[in-house]
Amino acid sequence: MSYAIPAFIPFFIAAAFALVIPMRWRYVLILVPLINGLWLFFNLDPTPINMQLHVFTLEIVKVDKLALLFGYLFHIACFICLIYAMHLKDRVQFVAGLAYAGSAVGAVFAGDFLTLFIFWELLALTSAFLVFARRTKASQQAGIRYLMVQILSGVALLIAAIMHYRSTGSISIEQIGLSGFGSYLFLFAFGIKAAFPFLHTWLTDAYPEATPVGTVFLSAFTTKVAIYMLARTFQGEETLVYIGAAMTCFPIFYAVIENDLRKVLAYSLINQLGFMVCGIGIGTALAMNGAVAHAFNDVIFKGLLFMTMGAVLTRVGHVNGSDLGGLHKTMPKTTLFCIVGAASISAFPLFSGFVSKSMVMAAMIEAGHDYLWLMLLFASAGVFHHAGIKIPFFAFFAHDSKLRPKEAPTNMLIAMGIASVLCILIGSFPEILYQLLPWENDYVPYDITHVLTQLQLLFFSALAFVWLNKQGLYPPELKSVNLDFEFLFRKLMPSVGKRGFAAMSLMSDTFIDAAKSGIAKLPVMGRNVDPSAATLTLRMVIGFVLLVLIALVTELV
Amino acid sequence: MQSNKSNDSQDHANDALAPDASFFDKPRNVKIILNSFYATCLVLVLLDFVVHRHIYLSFEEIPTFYALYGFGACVLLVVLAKLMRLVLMRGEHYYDERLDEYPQLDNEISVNTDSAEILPSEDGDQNMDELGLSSYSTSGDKK
Repeated sequence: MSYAIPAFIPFFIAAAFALVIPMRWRYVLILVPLINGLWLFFNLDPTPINMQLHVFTLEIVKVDKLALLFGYLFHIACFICLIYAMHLKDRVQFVAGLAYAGSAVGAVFAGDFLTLFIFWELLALTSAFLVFARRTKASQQAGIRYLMVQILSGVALLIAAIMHYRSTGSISIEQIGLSGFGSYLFLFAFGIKAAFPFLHTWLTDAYPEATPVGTVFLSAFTTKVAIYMLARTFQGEETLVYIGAAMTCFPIFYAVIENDLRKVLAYSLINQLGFMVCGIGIGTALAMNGAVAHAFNDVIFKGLLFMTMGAVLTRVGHVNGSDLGGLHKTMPKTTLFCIVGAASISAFPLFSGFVSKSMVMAAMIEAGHDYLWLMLLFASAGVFHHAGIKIPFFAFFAHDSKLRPKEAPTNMLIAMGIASVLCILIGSFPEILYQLLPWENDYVPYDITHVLTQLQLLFFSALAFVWLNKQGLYPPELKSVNLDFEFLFRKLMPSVGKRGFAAMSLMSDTFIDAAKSGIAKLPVMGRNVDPSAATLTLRMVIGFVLLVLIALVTELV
Repeated sequence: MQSNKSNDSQDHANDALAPDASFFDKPRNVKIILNSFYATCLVLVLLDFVVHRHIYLSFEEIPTFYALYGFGACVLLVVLAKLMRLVLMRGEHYYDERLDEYPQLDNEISVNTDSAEILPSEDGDQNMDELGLSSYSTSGDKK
C-alpha cells in the first residue's frame, strides 16, 4: 500500500482531537506517532505529493533517505515525549506538542521553500506555547522573546526564498551555497534556528523557562530541522566549519559556571549542534553521515538528559545546582537514566554519542583541519566535564541537600527508559543507525586506537574534575545570571534607548523653547511695536528669500 | 559546595546514624570508587605504551597525548570559566524579578500571588503549607 497522505497530517488531526477530547483519553494520543512512524518505516517508497498553487508547484511531500531519517527521528522523539507527558492533564501542552511535532515532520518532507516557510513559522508558533505553558511571568516574557526571534527567522527565510525565486525561477529546495545577498539571508534564517553564535540566545533563554515536558519537545525539533536544512542547502560550505568549531567551544565555558541545570543542558545543546554544523561544512560523505547521525543521537540523549532534569524539576520545583544534591537516595532510577544520558553525550564507547561524534572528528582530520580538530577535541573533553559529570554529580550526588523528593512518575520513567535503551542499543550496535544513513558509509567506530584514545580523553577529563574538586578549585555553584550576548538587547539597548529618548526629548524641548523665545523677540507689525524695526525685519526676510531664489536659478542655468 | 565527594561523606560520617544513608555516604565506599578510578587511569596510560595506536596527526605522536590533552583542557576550561565569572556574573534577578516562582528554598522571597497576601515570615515552610505548596509541585505542569 502506498503512503497516500502527507506524514504530518495525522499529527495535526491528533492536535485538533486533543483540543476537544476529555483529558482522560489522552493515552490514545501515544498511538499517533507510533502507528504513523511504523507506517512510514514499512512503506519504503512513499508517494511524493505535489500541489499546484497559481504559478508555483508546491512539493508538499518529497521523499529521500535524508528526509526519511529525520522523519523517523521525529516520530521516535514525539513518541517518547508523549509518554513523558502522560502524567499531565494540561491540554495546552498536548495540543502544542503534537502540532509542533507535526510541523517538524512537515518541514523535513517539504520539497520547496514556500511549503517550508509555512512549517517553519508553524514550528515557531506552536513551540512558543510550550514555553508559555509554564505560566510564570518569566516564562511569558521569555516566550515572547523566543517568538520574536523565531518569527524574524521566518521573515528572513521568506525574503531569501523570494530573492532565490527571482534569480533562479525555482522555489524547490536544493544546494544553495554562499554567493550573493540572498544566500546569506538563507544562512541567517537557518542560523537563527541552528543557534549560530550571537544568534543563539533564544535557545538558552527560552529552554530553561519552558515546562519540564516542553523543554524535552523543544530540544528535539527546532534545531534539528535547521540542521536538516543546512545539510540540504549548504553542504560543504567552508564557512560552516569555522562557525561550527566556534559553536562547540564557547558554550562550554558558560555551561561550567551556570547554575540552572537545564540552562547547562541548553548550552551543551549548542555545543552538540556545533559538531553537526562542522560536519555539514566539511561536506564529504563521512562528514555528512556523521552530522546527521549525530543529530539523530543527540535528539535521544539530549532529550534523555532534559527528561531527567524535567523529572527533578517536577519533583523538587527547581533545578538549581546550588540547591540540589543527594537526590540519588530517593530517585535512583532517574539517577541511572541520567548517567546513561551523560555517558552518551560524552561519547563513551558503547553509548550512542561515540559512534556518531567520531565520524565528524575523523572527517575533520581527513579534510585537513588540524587545529579545528583540536578545538573539537577540547570541546569533547569539555562536554564530558559539564554535561557528563556536572549534571549527574551536582543533581544526584555532591553534598546532601536534605531534599527527599519522590521518584519520578512511572510514565516519565518509561520514557526515560526507552531513551536509555535506544542510547545503549545504537552505541553498541551502530549498524542499526548506519544502515539508515543517506550517504555511502563504511565507517568502523570500534577499533582499538579509537576506543583507547577516547577512554584516555574522558578518564583524564574526569581526573581533572576530581583533582580540581579536591583542591577546592572547582567553581562552586552560585545563584547567578551570567551575561551572554542577550545582554545587548535585554539590558544595553533598552537602557541606551531610554537614555537616548530622554536626551532627545530634552534636546527637542530646549530647541523648541529657544526657538519660541527667539521668535518672540522678533519685532513684528502690531500695536506698541517699533514700526521701523518691524519693517526692517520684513525687508531682510524678503531679501534673503530673493537671494536664495537667485542662487537656485543660477545653479540650474 | 567546594567540598568534594570524600569530604562530603566525612561530614556524614559524623551523623552516621542517618537512617537513609546510602552507598555513597560511606567514606569507605567512596574511597574504593576513587581508588579504582585512579587505577583505571593508570592502566589507560600504561596501555598507551603497549598498544600501537594509529597515528593520523603530528600531535598524536606525543605519548599519552589524549590523556594529557583531556586533563589540560578541563583545567584550562575551569580556570577560564572562573575568570569569566569575574566579568559576567550578575545577581540572580538581574533580568527578571522572578517573584511568582515558588519555592525559593531559602525563603528569601515571599509568595507573590494575586489571591493571597503572604508576608515573609520566619517560618517559610508554614507559608508553603498554607498554599499547598509543600510538595514543591509548582513547576508549571498542571496535574
